[in-house]
Amino acid sequence: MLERVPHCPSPVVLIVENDVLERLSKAAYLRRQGLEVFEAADMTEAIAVLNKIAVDILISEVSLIDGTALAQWVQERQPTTQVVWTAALRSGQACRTPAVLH
Amino acid sequence: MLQEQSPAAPVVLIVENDVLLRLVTACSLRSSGFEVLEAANSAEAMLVLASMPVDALFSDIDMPGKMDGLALAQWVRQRRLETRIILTSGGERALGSAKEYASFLAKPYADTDVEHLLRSVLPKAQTRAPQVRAIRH
Repeated sequence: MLERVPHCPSPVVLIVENDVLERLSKAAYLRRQGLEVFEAADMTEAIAVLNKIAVDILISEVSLIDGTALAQWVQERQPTTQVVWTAALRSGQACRTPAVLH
Repeated sequence: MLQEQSPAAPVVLIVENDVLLRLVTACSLRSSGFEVLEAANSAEAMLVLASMPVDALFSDIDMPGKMDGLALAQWVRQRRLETRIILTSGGERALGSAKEYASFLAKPYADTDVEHLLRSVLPKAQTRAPQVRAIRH
């Protein structure tokens, strides 16, 4: 049984990002918006969190190794979790990845 | 990068490869008014320490990778950063020369133990009525 964050009416966000400075910047911004934010450095950490805590929104980097496998894993176990992809695009490069997978 | 809203808000960097322990400790310290940064290992910690001011480092000693918590503390010391250092590990550990500049907290620890130790090692002006200090995105 997954745990809800106690006394937390805010949406719970999990950021999976292997660039620590990018991760803490995103996390600080979202906390300032009033969200409850957890951080994972890779897929292994993300799964450890997702096995324990009910997450409303998963934010994951497209280029993260096994990122799509992580999204599939989440959809099977936490189907109500929204998955949001992030990607760093080079100049002139179009984004063909949907922003929200589920 | 840091936007200072109050000089009384201490910035704490937690370095812990157990994500659930890191998460719980970070949440507890944030609810106590600290600004908390998280790193999963020493390599991440060095990037953070080189990028922004950190008032206190709370690091596990036993971590995978080339650098453990003792080496990270030594790295901080060699760079003459003003960061206060607290090291943690399961059971008692000999800090060696690090005991001259680092405090030790044995695992398992209560969240209040971390908070109290942080307040004892940080300068008094930083631990009085801590308020959230935001990081500009």
